[in-house]
Amino acid sequence: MLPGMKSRSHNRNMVVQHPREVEISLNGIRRRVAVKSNWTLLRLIRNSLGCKSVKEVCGIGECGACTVIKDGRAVSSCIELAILCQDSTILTAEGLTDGENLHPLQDSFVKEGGFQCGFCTPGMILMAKALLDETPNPTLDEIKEYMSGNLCRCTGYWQIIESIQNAVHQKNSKRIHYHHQRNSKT
Amino acid sequence: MLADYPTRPASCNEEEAYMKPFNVFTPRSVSDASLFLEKNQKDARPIAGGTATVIMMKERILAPNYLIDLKKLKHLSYIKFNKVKGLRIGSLTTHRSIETSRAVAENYPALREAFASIGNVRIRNAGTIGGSLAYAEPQCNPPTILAALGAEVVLAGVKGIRRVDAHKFITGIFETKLKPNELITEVRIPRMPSGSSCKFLKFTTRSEEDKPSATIACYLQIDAKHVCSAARLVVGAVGPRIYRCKKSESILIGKRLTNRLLADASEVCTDKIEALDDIYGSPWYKLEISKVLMGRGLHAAWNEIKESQS
Ligand SMILES: Cc1cc2nc3c(=O)[nH]c(=O)nc-3n(C[C@H](O)[C@H](O)[C@H](O)COP(=O)(O)OP(=O)(O)OC[C@H]3O[C@@H](n4cnc5c(N)ncnc54)[C@H](O)[C@@H]3O)c2cc1C
Ligand code: FES
Ligand code: FES
Repeated sequence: MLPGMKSRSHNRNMVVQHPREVEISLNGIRRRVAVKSNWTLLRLIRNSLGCKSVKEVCGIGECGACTVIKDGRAVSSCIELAILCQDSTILTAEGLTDGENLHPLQDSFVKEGGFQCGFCTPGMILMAKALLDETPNPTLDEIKEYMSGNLCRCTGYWQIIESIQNAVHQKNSKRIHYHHQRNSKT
Repeated sequence: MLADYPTRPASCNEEEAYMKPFNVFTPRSVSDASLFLEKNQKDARPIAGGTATVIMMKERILAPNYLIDLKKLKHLSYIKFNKVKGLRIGSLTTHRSIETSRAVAENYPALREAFASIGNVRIRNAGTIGGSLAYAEPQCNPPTILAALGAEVVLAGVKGIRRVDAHKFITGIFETKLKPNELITEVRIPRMPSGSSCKFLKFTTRSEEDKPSATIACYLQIDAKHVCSAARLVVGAVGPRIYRCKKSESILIGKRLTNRLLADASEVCTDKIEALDDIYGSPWYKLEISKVLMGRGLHAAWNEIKESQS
């Protein structure tokens, strides 16, 4: 409560919180963790909770290396405040697998060569997962549009698009040959 | 010219390198929030999606002592459509909800277009319509389209509720009609009568999802006698705020439209705009681009109305 604020009766609701802990569900495990108010969600899950798949590159929401899925939606964790994430459910690349079997998208990225240095890859795969959760059978244009906010310096993007298409086709159990498509569309 | 390019905020590894620590205030209602703002005018800042606020805090452009967590006001996130009254959008509605709303896609395709082309999916998942209006960055898409659609912005403060026309709401770069204790609660968009059409176009010089050099939105309404009965032409991103092109509108209103008239109207649509010189283009370039976009937008709107009336 602030000085001078007690005088009005309805001000009783106005509690200024100084939370030093937040409770989040990270990759299926509920955690109660200490945070500082000026930490980003990225700072919390990468540095304090050890999910190193979440990377910081631009820090301003443009590149997608810090993508996490928060309450079912892809967001940039570099511009989310950790302290405002109380009770949210967060998924990072670490939470995609059980530690033994790869997630179909991860498998597809490996098979189709959807990465080189791998720095953008966790963000790419989470973004692709968010896409397929919303649109199970996306068109080429839908994939390009959805993934356009994730930057990759290595692959040239086609391998990434093909990895996503392949994951979809694996699921629908057919394979297609991309090469004419690539020549005719670029 | 490159001076306003965003500097890279300090990395997350440098413990306390960025953002001044702050306290969080969680309001239960809009009046809670505006009372708190009234008491702590200089020190408190509302935060909605945070996509603009957090970046400004990282860059230390902002260093508030209190953040007011508006996202907890869940009742301000809604899209309501009524055939007579039109569309009402709660200020905490995300760009992505507007983009994916069926009511919006069916009745206001240009509105969908404008929200679907904001930044990237992650920004649209977090950013809100109220945040975008209050942020008042010249490059934001929503003010341009909302002004062309004739929208009103509903503001609530300690003294009650008032409504402001969307085209008058933003007064300059990062400047709006919001009083220090006021919050945006709703955006109201009138219905689109038959014989009307609205178009939104944006032009970026670097990549598709980059901030635009120019955005235009135009609304035309043509009555049964083929006379233009209403027109709202708006240019955004070029100057410090959005501009209503009154001179172009007066060329069109009350006349039967022709190619010649549309060309004349788009030629003068940049009248009185003080274009900014920045990384998105030189003033001359932005003004020329706006005229071309306006011409295209007007033609598309006119053709759509002709098709619906034939
Ligand atoms: C990478 C990137 C790309 C972008 N590209 C585009 C683009 O192409 N087109 C475009 O239009 N925009 C673009 N933006 C801007 C984006 O749309 C805005 O950041 C966003 O709309 C702001 O909404 P928010 O809810 O996150 O606002 P916040 O950051 O939460 O708030 C912004 C400001 O508004 C105030 N505020 C918020 N809600 C209210 C309210 N209800 N009442 C009163 N004041 C309020 C806050 O105090 C703050 O000052 C981009 C942003 C990023 C980071
Ligand atoms: S580091 Fe978050 S989007 Fe680039
Ligand atoms: S694989 Fe290197 S950045 Fe994408």
